[in-house]
Amino acid sequence: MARKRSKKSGEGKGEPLPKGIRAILRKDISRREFIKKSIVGAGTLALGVYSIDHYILNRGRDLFSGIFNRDAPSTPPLFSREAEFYVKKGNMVQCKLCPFECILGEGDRGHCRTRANINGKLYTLAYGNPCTIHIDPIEKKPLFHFLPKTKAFSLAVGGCNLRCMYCQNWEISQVKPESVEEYELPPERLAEAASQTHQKDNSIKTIAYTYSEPVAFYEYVLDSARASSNRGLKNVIITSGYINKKPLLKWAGVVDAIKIDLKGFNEKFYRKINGAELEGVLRSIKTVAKSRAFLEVVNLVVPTLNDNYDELRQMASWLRHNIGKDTPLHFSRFYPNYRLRNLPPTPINTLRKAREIALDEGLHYVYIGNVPHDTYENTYCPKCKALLIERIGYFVKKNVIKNGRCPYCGTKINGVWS
Amino acid sequence: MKRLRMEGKLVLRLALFLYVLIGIIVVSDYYIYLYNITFSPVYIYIVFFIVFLALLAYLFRRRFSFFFRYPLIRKAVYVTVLAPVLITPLFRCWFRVPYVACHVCPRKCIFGYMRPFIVPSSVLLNVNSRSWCYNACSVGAVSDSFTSMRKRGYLSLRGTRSRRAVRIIGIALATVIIAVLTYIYFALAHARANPGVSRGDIFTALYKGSYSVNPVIIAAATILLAGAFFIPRLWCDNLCPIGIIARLSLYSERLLRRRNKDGQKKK
Repeated sequence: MARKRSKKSGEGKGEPLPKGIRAILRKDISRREFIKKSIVGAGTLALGVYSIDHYILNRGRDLFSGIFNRDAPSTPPLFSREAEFYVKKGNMVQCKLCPFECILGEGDRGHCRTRANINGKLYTLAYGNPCTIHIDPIEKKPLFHFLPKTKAFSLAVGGCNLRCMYCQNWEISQVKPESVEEYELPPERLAEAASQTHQKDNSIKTIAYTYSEPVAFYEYVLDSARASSNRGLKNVIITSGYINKKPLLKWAGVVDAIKIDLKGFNEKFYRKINGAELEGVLRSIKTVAKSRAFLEVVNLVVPTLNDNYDELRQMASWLRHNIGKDTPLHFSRFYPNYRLRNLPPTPINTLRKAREIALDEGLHYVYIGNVPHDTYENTYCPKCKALLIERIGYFVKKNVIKNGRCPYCGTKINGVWS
Repeated sequence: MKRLRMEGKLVLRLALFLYVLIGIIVVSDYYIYLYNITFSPVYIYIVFFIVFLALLAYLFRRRFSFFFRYPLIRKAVYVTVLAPVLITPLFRCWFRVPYVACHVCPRKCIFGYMRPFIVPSSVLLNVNSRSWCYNACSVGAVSDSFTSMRKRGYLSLRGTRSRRAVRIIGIALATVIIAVLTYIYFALAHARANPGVSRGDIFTALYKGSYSVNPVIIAAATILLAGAFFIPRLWCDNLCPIGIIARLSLYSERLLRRRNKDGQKKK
């Protein structure tokens, strides 16, 4: 018997058979069991290799595709300071600035690209390093009811917490702050520079935080606004409004005006095209409306995506009931840009119809933007319909408002006029 | 025997307790603490260790005989360690339907992070008589916990005429679920990779845009798991993709089993 078994197992015939085969021949395991174990063995081996590669060698390679793993600088940049509005949990931090509330492990960079966990602390990387500075008419922001015919010392730092597919400034908003050329301009120096410019040109009365997304350089805005308001300058923020309530209230306490981009009135549109949520923006609009800061709202009408008249009516109605009829609303014309080049510019008739709808819903000041030489850029008295401010593009041709009132019927015109 | 049954029930109660505890933590603002713990390398390596240990124990049964010595302790350890991974998505997820869209999730929870590891390893462990489902799965243990609470006999079709019909319907349903999940997997990957301007794609339909609690999902999951009070492993055998795959493979294995001349099944 022993001899027979020896023959079966192939012993003494040169090359010994593999152990598994010998086990089958000895009838230690059934063929079925052998096949199963082979499958599990091969699977375990493959899983082991995958785990080592994916989880150990490249730990967290695809963890949080919304944030940037292991992308923080090893030390905070030159003017960087510890961020506000975050909570620390062990070596992890959770940013509480915007509704994304990124959870960052050590060495991770947030969704906005401007906040990073360095040695267990959250730092803002967008501080004192603007990538662009221009002098613009305030009407370009657009702020039509805030010191018309003045100019704004406008600046931006790279980064944004949204992912708008039609972003006009994507070259600076969809990059890290250090990826673009930077000026070295900490808040004090910025306030000083703006103040000196104001002395040279008296029409420059404001610092505007614009172009990219001021939420991404929140602390810089805050400190700069404090420094410049001491020098008699006003501060305005041009934002998408995707920010939590507490930080927004803090902003509203130091700046003079906030323009919020209400990109649409459709949750799906917000998620898909902008990478944000409508609810958070509506909350911000209500918060600013109740604060001391002056508010204007802009809606960029994108053909086929957010130009539904019912939605526009709902939006106008919401604004009317939540922030009042006197808040200016701008319908801006879309031009193909960034990742939405396949769409045509917004037809002017769509914008005119949108304006009609908003007026119909009871809003007093509705404008059409990005359409130069259109009469709907002008401000009319809501009561006597008299022309109060005549604009051509960004330039104010005539302004007859006196002490914030219509000179013909005395109606108070909502805005900051001096 | 009675003692063993009692101990088994204790493990199942532990699973239920963990389900409620993790639920409360994840729903509350303290979920960040769980996040912190589950993303620590120590926890992740413990998960790796216990899963690979189970796989190796199946492959090398004799050398890992210690693994099979205390089944209840083993089950308690597996259920406890894996509970945060397996239960968390039920209570808070970026998507309307948890578990299905982890590969396109903007910020993964621990399940999403471990899914490429957990799902294949559970399928492999199930090759050995569904050992994942019965010994390691925390959700399965919660389901079993409800079954163990019932004192009277539960609904069973064993011995009835409709058993075969129900089995065929069950297999058809399982096949449809797997087909739908496969479609969703690729459709989501495609939608995420091609963020066009079209409305109504599956990613937009499922994505909530916030890491929020969905009471409907919590209620539905709890009802399905509690359904095991009437029908044993209601969720596990009929709706859970891992359970369905195991069930289908066991069924196909049974079909493939050849018979002797006298009609008896071969080993």
